[in-house]
Amino acid sequence: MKSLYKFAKLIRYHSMECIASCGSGHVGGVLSIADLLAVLYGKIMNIDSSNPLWEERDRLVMSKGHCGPALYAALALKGFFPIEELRTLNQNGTRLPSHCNTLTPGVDFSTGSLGQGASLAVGVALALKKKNNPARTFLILGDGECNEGQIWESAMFAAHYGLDNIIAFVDQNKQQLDGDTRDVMSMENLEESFLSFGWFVKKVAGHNLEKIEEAILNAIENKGKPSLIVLDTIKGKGWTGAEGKPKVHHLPFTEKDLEILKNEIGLLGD
Amino acid sequence: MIMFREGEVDQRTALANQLVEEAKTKPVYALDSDLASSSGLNIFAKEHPEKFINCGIQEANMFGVAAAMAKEGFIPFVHTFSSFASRRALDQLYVSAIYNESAIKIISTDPGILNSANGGTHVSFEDIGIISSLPNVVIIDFTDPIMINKLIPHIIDDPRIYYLRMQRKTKEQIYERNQDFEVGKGIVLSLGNDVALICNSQLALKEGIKAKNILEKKGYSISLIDMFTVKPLDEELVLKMARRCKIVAIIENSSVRNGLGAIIADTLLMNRQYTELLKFGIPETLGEVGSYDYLIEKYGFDANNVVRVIEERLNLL
Ligand SMILES: Cc1ncc(C[n+]2csc(CCOP(=O)(O)OP(=O)(O)O)c2C)c(N)n1
Repeated sequence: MKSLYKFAKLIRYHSMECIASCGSGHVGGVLSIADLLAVLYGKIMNIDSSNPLWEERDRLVMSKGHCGPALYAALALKGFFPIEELRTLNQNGTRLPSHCNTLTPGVDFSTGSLGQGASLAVGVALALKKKNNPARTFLILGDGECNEGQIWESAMFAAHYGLDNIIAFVDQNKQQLDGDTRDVMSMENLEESFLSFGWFVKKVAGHNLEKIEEAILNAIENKGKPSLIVLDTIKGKGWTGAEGKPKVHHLPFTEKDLEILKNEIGLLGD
Repeated sequence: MIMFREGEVDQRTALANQLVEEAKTKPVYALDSDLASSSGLNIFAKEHPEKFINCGIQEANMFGVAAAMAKEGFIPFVHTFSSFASRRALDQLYVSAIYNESAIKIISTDPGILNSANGGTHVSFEDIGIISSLPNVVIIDFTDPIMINKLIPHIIDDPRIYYLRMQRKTKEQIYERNQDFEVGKGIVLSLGNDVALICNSQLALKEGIKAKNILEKKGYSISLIDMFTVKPLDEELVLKMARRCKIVAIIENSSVRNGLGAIIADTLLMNRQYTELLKFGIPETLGEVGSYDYLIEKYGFDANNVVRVIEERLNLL
């Protein structure tokens, strides 16, 4: 676990290094999803950085595609491409656009138009079943993203076809672009909604690595239904410039901020 | 001297301020899809909280809701990025709005390459192609904040559906307050005999001005047109330019396959006007991240390339 905590810190740091290199970005949602990515890429997923398209690999769809930098940091740390490349975010000709893109080694689907990743993940899960491929599909959604009707179409579909090889996560950081989700478009109880669609549902503290891992292992064992894990998170978690503040969706983030963050997450001492 | 200069407010603020004014006397509503902080409509929301409706991230639903509101006598402006306004809610635009004759007004921000910081999923090269293929939708590409201020009252009073392309964050202004704008009429910025440069959008017009200046230094005489209404096209002006000049060149922030240039080409041919025609804009390709300068040059609608290709063609004549 100690090394997993270190991995989570590194994902935080390097994803923000990525954003710092272009001066601003989707700071809030990147920081709130770092811990899930640490568990997935540090402990759970079967992947091979030397063979990104390995047929048996677990698939991951980052449907909240604007959080590319978080995924890129995890992939770089796992050896899919050099860490230094993180500093090319959004540059002319880059392989790392701010929204997830198949240009990047290790990224299975291009996303950014919210809601569409859900259908892609469900489609992958269906395809894997048809191929008798035991790989699993992980889907990462934003809570604001769940406003989209497509989320609910795919939820209905996944339950109908008993796609138990998909594990979806909602990063419930309680903010979307224009403000708090409850003000913009309230979806009172996401857990109950998914439950009523026929999913296995669990809610966990989204910054507690042990709890996240436990919930995933639980979901993997659960057969016959798709699984949803609601991550109770804080938008901007880990940086005082954003954590706990209103409207932290997209913010400027400088090299100076990166130094501050490095101290705050305690990377210097390690 | 034709040039852009820094104005007081950016396009999105000009639009929001104008809607705030209009909503004091008219049943104007603003609907956004979790992008009010991006569109500037949060300014409207502050002034008219009861007339602002945040739909959350659900563009298709928003188009349907707005279409129904229009039927009930309101004048709804809906906003989302151009990519989503054209591609994501297309069937709702067709059936709920156009087919039901519901005059919604679509604010479509950062079209063409303008949303390139958000990459391929957020750019719309084909939105003019998509929207212009639909009947009964007027397409405007706002050039500056003055044009927005002066046209919005007409757009509100006009019972047609409008698709309004706009660059959110530019304060640059080319027109004075006394300029008149008429939907469907291009603006002649200069009149010359060798080349007619026809542009839509501020981005393209800036390249057009640069190209004009370079070509004039080389001794050519140039017409420069701001064709801010893409549809219905000012056919009369286009034909006049084609008769007057040796070359008609279109510069646009949209696809050369199906944008303003394609519409103009069709108009010329169908009127038996066999003019030398050049189209500069975005080729048939997928979007990518990159700076405006980088992408304009890559796609070849930068002034230098425009001048190079025009001279090449002039030498052939
Ligand atoms: C279809 C679509 N509409 C609008 C947007 C613009 N947009 C990007 S992120 C965002 C808010 C997302 O909020 P949420 O899903 O809660 O993500 P998080 O808070 O985790 O960053 C919006 C509206 C988009 N990317 N796609």
